[in-house]
Amino acid sequence: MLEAKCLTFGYPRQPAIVDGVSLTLRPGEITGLTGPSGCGKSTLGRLLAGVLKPQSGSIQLAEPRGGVNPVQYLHQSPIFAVNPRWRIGRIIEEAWAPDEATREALGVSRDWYNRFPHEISGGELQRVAILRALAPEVRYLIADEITAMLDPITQADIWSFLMQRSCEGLSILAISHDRHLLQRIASKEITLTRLE
Amino acid sequence: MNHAVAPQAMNSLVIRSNNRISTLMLTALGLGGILLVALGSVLIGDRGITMDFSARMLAPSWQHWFGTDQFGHDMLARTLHGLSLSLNVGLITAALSTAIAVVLAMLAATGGRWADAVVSFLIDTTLGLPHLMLLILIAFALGGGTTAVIIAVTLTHWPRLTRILRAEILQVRSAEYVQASRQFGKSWWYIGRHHLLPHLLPQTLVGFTLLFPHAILHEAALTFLGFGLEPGKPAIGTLLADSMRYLMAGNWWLGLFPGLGLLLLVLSFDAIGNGIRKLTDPRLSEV
Repeated sequence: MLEAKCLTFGYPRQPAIVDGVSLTLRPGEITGLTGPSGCGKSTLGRLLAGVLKPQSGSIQLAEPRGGVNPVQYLHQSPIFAVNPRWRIGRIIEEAWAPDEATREALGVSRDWYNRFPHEISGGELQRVAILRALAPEVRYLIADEITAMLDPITQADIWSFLMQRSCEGLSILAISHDRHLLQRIASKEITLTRLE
Repeated sequence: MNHAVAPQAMNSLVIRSNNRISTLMLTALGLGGILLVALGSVLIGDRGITMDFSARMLAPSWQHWFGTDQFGHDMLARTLHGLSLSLNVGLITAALSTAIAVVLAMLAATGGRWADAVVSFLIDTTLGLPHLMLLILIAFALGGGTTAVIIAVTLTHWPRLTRILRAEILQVRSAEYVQASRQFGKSWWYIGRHHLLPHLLPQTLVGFTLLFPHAILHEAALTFLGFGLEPGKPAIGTLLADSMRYLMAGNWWLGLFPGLGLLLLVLSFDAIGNGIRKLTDPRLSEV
């Protein structure tokens, strides 16, 4: 279980972006996170993943953080999250060596392994990024608008796979503007409001 | 079914006219030109240094391809000697400048805010001064000669590469894929070796190669103006300065061939630099 209490984060000499947010992510649950642009959804996601450190508040995690982080953050644009000079095979195996079943379930083809990131499509690359983030140590996935740029069929594909994983125990925080998507996939929904 | 066949045919055409091969050819051509100069000057030996008054001021012919000067020197041999001298000076200065650039860029990007401010100030100061003026001042202050030219060109050519490398390090360090790598539990050592270094090495190599033509041209300019290499040495700058006196008399070959040689040498380095850049960037190599 991941328990965040009273998280606060802001940049120097500027009002806080995230101010006193508490939430709990439970295994096997998809939590939706929505709210207007600029209300701090992505910042909250990065805080939970440990990419950013909160100025106050605490994050309690049942699993240890050493090695592969059990909380993985996924970007909206996978092209920024992969080294443009690496081939797909190396990109995936930087995190772990996926088993064939997971690879096939996500629809990541072996043929892509020898290509560079710009040589496969955005949807394909997002599948690669998700596969990379699903190392065995990972218990929580922060999915920050991961299907916002993709076509409806790929979107449905990816989410039905992630829902399957969620049934097997993965906890997912789905950050999205798409209320209809969250209604379909999330068992509970959190709405952030913009701080004035 | 016809339309299913056509795209495949086009695909194979794209692979055959791969840009990588033409880039490689051009790079090899550049490398060949430089090797020719380096080897040529060794093979020629003393020719072009010893005088032969029986063959003064001869126009280009089969015996003297580039003609001869007022002392009967063979201009082809002299041009080759000059170019190889330029090559040596260029090699030393480009290597030294690159070393300065790498050290300062690392210092700026990893040494905290103060180090960054100091390095940025140094870059701005050096770039802010007129290039040739600074070169002349340093070379003059050091009393001229080969060493003075090397020091002057080295001290004026590091800022551009430093700025590029500093920006590259900062950019890669804050890149999302480096953050992701941290999330996979990778150490900064691993990131430096596998993400940062493969990104910086080609940049440094290209920077080094493209420093060459600059260094060679500035060395020639300094020598031409009389602040550079010793007048007795057959440097391209000296040859061009000497030719000025005879150009009006119609002895065009004294200026044309050394100048063309310099141009070709510079273009050779340009071809190599661009070749390395294109071949090491996965995005450019296959366009």
